[in-house]
Amino acid sequence: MPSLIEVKDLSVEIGAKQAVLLALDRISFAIAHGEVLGLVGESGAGKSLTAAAIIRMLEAPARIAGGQVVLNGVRIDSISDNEMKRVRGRQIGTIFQNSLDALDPLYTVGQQLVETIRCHLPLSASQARKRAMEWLREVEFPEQRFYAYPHELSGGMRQRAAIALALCAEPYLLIADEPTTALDLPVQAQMVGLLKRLVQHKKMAALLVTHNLGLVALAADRIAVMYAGRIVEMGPTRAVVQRPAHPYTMGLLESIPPLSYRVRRLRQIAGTMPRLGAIPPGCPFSSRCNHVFARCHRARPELMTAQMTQAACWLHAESTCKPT
Amino acid sequence: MSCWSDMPREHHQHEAAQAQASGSSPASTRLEQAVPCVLELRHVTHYYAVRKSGLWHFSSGRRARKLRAVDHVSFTLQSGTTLSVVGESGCGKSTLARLAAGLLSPSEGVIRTGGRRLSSVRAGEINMVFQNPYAALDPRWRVRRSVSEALRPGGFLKSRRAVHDRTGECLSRVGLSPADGEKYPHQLSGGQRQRVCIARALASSPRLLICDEPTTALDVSVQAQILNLLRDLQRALGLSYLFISHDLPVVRYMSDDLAVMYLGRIVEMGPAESIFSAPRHPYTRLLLESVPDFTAMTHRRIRLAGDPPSPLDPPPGCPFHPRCPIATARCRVAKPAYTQHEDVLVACHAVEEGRGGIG
Repeated sequence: MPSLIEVKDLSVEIGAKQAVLLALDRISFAIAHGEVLGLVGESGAGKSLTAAAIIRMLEAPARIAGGQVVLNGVRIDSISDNEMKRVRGRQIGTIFQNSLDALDPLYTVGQQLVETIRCHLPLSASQARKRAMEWLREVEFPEQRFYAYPHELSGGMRQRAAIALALCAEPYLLIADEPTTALDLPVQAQMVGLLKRLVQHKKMAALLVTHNLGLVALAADRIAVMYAGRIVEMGPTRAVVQRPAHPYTMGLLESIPPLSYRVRRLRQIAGTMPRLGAIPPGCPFSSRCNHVFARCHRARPELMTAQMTQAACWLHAESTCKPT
Repeated sequence: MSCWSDMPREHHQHEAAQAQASGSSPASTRLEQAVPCVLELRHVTHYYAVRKSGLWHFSSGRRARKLRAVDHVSFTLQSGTTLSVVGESGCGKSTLARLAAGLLSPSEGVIRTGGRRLSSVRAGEINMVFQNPYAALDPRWRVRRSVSEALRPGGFLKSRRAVHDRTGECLSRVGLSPADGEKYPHQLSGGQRQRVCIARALASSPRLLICDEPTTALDVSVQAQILNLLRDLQRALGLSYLFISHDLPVVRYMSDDLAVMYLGRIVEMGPAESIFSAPRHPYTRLLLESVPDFTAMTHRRIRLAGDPPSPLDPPPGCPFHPRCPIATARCRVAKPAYTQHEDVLVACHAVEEGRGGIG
């Protein structure tokens, strides 16, 4: 299937002349129609930065340093800001962690939906209203709350309204940045299930950014694991979760307590993710890795085929003399 | 299990008989007398006064409504063990933590620690670890000062030298170096900050730590470090934990006992492994089912729909009945009492009647 969005070697720099830090280092991925790609990693790994770079909403000291973003065959990394404005909302919908930020407290949910729809689509007021009602039904938002203000709604309902708002112009791509982190567990699962259903139904593509591996396993078709500004492993969800190839992914999965049984003791990855200025040369994970050997310090591994996924790890290079 | 025999018996005669029949209570009562438990709550209820908000209500002088955040909660926490309280947001678990820490005083009921009333406890016997380590430390204080501050109210240590040594000892207990004491919070990572908060909580040698979502703000790999640290400290120092969380996998890893709260009430309580392996209350079962668990990777239908009702206006009868798939007429009118099933107490008519299966 042709991919709807293709990100190629996207790099982002932060800082001025003397001290430039490479925050995203050649990120590449593609998402097909109806597919959900889960972007997971710990805070500071560059997940949100990737999302912001795609929609070109980077804040001042950060800027795109290279690479391409191709949406539906059009390079959106090089178009003008005015053209980009039309892409955002119309072609790319976004959902953020705090739905209160996405909703205007002074307008009812219905007003905001109608306004957004009319802004992007050539519809009359009554048509837009009908469309808004349809979207509310789609996200399982009670229609009688059409005239409710955001503060009158529960967190889950607000997030549903925010989803409707992001999707009402029928964008090709949905970017959801930690869409459920502020919600209760049962609501999180509901919300992710809803997103997945909508994406498949509307044949959109979705980038789901989250730190919650359980949620990603529930919703994503493929997973990309980020560490220190790079994608270190990528593959089908089941493969990444059940047969991870990168030591970081393995460590991450082992450090989450399972629900279905009680472990004696949680494995933990020693230390923390290096700061941007202190990423070791070679493999960025080499400073915390149990399997580290000489080559890891010398050269940076690119994504290579490993078992059932792609991992940026020298353990999976065919010609490597593996440590005993 | 020793402590569950003391649950409220809401005027149901047959329950007592049932509890006796299970055979666990006489022995446990003896044990309880021998070892005073670290924390004991009896019929603790807490109300918040809620005024109508908004511009036109500020001077109306209308009487405040009562929000019952915690409703007749009773439990005991044994020395050296962990009791976890789980539930959705707004279920009253954080209010419970604040009551147990003495930050709030209960509207009704009694809280005892080691056989004494909570109000007579000296400072530093019970300490708290909060959810957000970014907000829990003074940004203008060096870490050492934050930790040694905790030694002051009890007046435990007189000399400056002793305070200095004790602070260093606490920092190394939590895996920091005494040199880290000279740093400011902004120089530390989230995990290190939470370690500082734990060191501060340990400084006055408490017997009980109340941990209110201690790892919610942390990344998973750091969470594992902090959870393991808490368990190591428990073993080494004989600490007891009241562990408040909504993260069920974390709770399973940490707990000896478990209490599931819904709308201010405990709906199911007992040894954690008993509940996790065979949950009885429909709410517990649906809550467990709604957790996305990648170790299982099976697609489960999420059946816990909707939000909990407002605690300002709780439904009559069983508070869970509007969302319960097996609610009957009885559930809509009568509040269920606690019944004992093996070592677990459950407040549910359906479980009591032996029709616990869902769907």
